[in-house]
Amino acid sequence: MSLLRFEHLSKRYGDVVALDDVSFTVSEGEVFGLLGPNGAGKSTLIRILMDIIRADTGRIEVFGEAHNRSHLDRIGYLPEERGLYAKQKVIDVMVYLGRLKGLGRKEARQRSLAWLERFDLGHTVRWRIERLSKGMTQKVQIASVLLLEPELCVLDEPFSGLDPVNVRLVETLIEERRGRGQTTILSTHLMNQVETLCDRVAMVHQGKRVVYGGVDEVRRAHSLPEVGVDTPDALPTLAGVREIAREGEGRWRLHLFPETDPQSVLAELVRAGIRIERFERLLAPMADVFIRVVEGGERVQEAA
Amino acid sequence: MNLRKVRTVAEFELVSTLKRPAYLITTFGMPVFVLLYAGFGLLIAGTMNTAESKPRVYGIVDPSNVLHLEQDTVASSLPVPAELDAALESTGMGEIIDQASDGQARSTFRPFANEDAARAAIADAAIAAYYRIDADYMATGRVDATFAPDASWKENGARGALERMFRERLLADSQEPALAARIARPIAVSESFTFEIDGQEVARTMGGQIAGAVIPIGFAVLLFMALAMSTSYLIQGTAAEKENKVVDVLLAAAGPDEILTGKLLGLGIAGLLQITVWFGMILVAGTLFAATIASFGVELPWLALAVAPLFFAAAYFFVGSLILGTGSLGKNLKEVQQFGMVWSLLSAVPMMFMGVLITDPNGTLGQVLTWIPFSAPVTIVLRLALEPEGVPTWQVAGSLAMMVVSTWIALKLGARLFRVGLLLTGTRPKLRALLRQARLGI
Repeated sequence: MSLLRFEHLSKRYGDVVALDDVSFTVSEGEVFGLLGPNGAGKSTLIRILMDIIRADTGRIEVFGEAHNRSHLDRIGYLPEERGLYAKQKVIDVMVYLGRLKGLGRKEARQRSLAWLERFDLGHTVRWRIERLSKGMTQKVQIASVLLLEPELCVLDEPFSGLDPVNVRLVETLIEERRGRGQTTILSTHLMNQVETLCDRVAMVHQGKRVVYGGVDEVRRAHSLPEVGVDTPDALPTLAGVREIAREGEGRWRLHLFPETDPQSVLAELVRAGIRIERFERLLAPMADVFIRVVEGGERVQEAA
Repeated sequence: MNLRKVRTVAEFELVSTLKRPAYLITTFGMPVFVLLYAGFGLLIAGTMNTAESKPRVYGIVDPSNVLHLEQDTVASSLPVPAELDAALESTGMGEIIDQASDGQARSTFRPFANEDAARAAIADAAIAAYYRIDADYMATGRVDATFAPDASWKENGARGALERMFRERLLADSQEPALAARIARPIAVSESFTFEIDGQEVARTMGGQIAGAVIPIGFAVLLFMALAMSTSYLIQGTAAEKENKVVDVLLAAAGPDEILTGKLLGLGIAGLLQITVWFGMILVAGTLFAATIASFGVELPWLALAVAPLFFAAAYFFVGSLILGTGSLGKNLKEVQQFGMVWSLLSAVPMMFMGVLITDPNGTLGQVLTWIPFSAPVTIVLRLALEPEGVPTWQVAGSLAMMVVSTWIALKLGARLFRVGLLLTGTRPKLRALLRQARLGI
């Protein structure tokens, strides 16, 4: 079931086209990756969703209704360009942001304290923001968003400035949200996180949606026709295989012709009596997909 | 507009401001500073009083013998109206005023046969200075003064007293005593009256005249200061938000109009609290000087006091909206201040024309400034304080209505510019693009 639907959004800044007829949907309970190079239009899209700026054309549907400001209290937002009131105390800022999103003072305070503990920042409650390290500030910002327990959460580059331990913590929190059926939009340049966390992705490039679909579908659609085989036996010449490359002791990469079905290759290997320890379709990593789309400038065939 | 969000922003801004050391110092420190300053001034004056309570003696070398001095002669004091003298004495200020009038009340003139004798007296510190009257004084009118080498910069002798003495002696020699006395003091007794609109004549005291002008001016200045202080908090807050990069988070939680209104309310209340503290301290000081005020027969400008809060609120929201709107276009504190300053300067127009407004509060300038939103609040309050009978009720009501409408427009315009301004990063778009963005949303 779709929780969020962008329909034909367009936005120009003078002569610069920031978004050009972008449409896609985000389903309830999924972690959705919003990808794209710097300046592609991701932040513009998110800012339109948060009603910070307005689209020139198009519409947004969220929670089954036409988008309006009352929905914003149900959407958490961690912007890429972020900061907190440097002179204020941590707890005061968190309570303020919580109250702005509709929480009562007491509830906002209780949740803030709980989330600070979760981020191992319980000792900083009375600290001024300016006393926090960059990583600590980042965690306070993420906690300020998550304490709202929003139905839809938009996290723009949430991992920047975090050490591996805290990256893992944030990943866990995102997975927990998915487990509770809450939706998260994740905008990041870390493609390994996209592969491990996201269910589906959309990629925006030069204002246009160029990639859209499930992560595996996208990877499959942008992969070369290759399979990996592990076997102690030597491989014979195989029909439909353009090239066989040895990648290590007993490890082979088979480059297929585009029209070749990998299943036919597997069947031929079995018929030839090859002892197969591993046979898998090799999918392009998301990083390769990203680079291929951006550097190639190609309008990739969408997966869905 | 979501009033709950407006209240949340207002509370946050108010509490944040109240906790600021700068605010606390200004609110409580300024009156303390003023009291300390006044106390320091009184201390200095007291010291001067003590130092100069010794008779000031000036030598006279008079080869022309115009003054006929044969022994120490105390100069007559300046003529001071009886009612002012009484008022000054009731406050214990008489001595200080004497100081201010060159210490002439205590000037004593001592004759010397020649300059050598006078110089010897200076060397002995017996006199502060001596005056040498030209031998052909009647023809030349020349009188030179010689001061002691350690005379301070403020030592200016007793020229005024000496001139009076010359006048009296010259007249005494050549005119009838009664005529001489009249020429010396042409207006010896005088009372002033004010012809009121209702046909009555009431006594007009000099103290009352002074206080009648000082209180409205002080009131207008206070109103202006309160506006300036309150709007400066707006500027600082906006700059802090831009520099701290909290804009996106804020705008994702509340609309620009909600943020703008909340800020205006919160910081406006902080400004009002500040004024209340200042007024409270003034009242305390006022009770201490109640005798002086009573002796001047001054009535407080109640009508001005009554409408001032309304006009203050309207002026604050009007100017504040514009300051927030345009100030937000700045990239840093300096630019935010520069962009916001324009409106503050426009609000200062009545202060620039204060002289004209005091002379003729209900004249053409006063009438015109009453209908300009930037100048209306201070002008109308000043007019009501100075000449309330010359301000028709419809003008007060009309001016207030104009302020309300202007404020509403300023709020709307300010909110639009605020949204555009808060989101600005990097290169600032040109005016045309800004206006387009403000009109259409960006």
